[in-house]
Amino acid sequence: MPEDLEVSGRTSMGGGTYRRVEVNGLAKMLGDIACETCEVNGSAQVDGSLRVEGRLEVNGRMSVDGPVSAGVLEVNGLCDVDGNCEVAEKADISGVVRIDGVLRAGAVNIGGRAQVDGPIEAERVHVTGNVRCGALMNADVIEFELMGKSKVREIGCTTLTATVGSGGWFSKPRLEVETIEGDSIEVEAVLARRIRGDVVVIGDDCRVDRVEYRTSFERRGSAVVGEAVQI
Amino acid sequence: MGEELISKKELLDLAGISYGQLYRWKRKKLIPEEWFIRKATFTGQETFFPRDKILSRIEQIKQWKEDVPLDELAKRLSPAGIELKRTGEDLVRLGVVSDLACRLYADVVPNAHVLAFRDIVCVYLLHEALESGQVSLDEARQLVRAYDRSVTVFHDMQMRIDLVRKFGIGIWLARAPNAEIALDPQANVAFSVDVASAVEQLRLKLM
Repeated sequence: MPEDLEVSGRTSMGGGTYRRVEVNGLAKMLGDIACETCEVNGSAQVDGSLRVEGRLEVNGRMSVDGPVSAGVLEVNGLCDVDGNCEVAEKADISGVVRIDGVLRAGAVNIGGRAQVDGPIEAERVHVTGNVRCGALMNADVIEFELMGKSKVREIGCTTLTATVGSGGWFSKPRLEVETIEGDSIEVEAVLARRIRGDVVVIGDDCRVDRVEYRTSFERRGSAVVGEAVQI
Repeated sequence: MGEELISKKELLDLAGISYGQLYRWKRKKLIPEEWFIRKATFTGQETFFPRDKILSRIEQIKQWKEDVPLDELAKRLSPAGIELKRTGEDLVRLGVVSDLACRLYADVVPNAHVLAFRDIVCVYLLHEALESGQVSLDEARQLVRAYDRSVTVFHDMQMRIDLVRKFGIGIWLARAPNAEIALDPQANVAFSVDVASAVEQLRLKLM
């Protein structure tokens, strides 16, 4: 029967299997960790993989030098993963997350800041913060409420909506993306090279080089569209 | 390789599917990552697919998706060999292979009672070869040995096996699926099978 682990002071230890892990102090773990739930309020460093069956909550800071898997992920602090991050259900990111590989989850909510070098794959992606994705963002439903600048290399989806969020007047809301492909696309404040879809609406403040659409295309407000072709 | 490619746009038209479906299937790993081939074109970078493979895969998905959940389908289509063991009698009973193929295999490999997936593939190839009517019993026996040796050479069973015959003497030849061979004009290919697609068919029959 695995035991609970609670770190309140400062410790350095090997990996292992635990039931509940709670780090309130400063912990350095040298090896793979497997546990049922994990909560980091202080600072944790894992030199190895981290496998959490249930909830992984990071309120302090955590850095993992290896892959992470969890049932549910919640980040309110800072989380740095050098590897892939697989979440069975929901990934809620209100703090700052940096992932070296893939972010795969049932649903992804980004209210804070996320930098993902690999692809992001989920059924739903909802962004109210900032996201930078160096590869494909692939989800059934993608919603952006733009605040500041987000940048995604490619988007592939069934439905994409991007609207300018309220508040946040420090930097202009903008989503930069090379290619968007989806069935239903309705965007504002998007800078894109190519947008391909079935029903496409290009709204205020967009600059798109080329739109390819199947059923319908609409340009609204101050949108600038290089060319729009029906195919 | 001289494989014919199809652009994403053409594919969607031809298969009658939407971007949403394509991306969902990619996400569920029903379509392998390697099939997404990026190429520079005059309109920028475009994605292409190996034409025959992707079209038959999409047909398969469309056919099965009504009855089988996508996650289950992904498991069935995964290129990794499946963990599966069957006795020869089971295979005959399931109608996967003929009794003759099974007996012939037992002849060559006498103490194989429970077969791993790799061996099942061999029996299946044997069955296909005999069914074709182009392969003699003796040549079929040789196939078992040839298969055993070549299967370790090619990764993931990505290979094609041919029976080349000249003056009535047959030899088995294993090659990468798209590798060209130039034959002696007097020789001919009596039987040829793509092992990867045979594996795919077999997998669907066994599950």
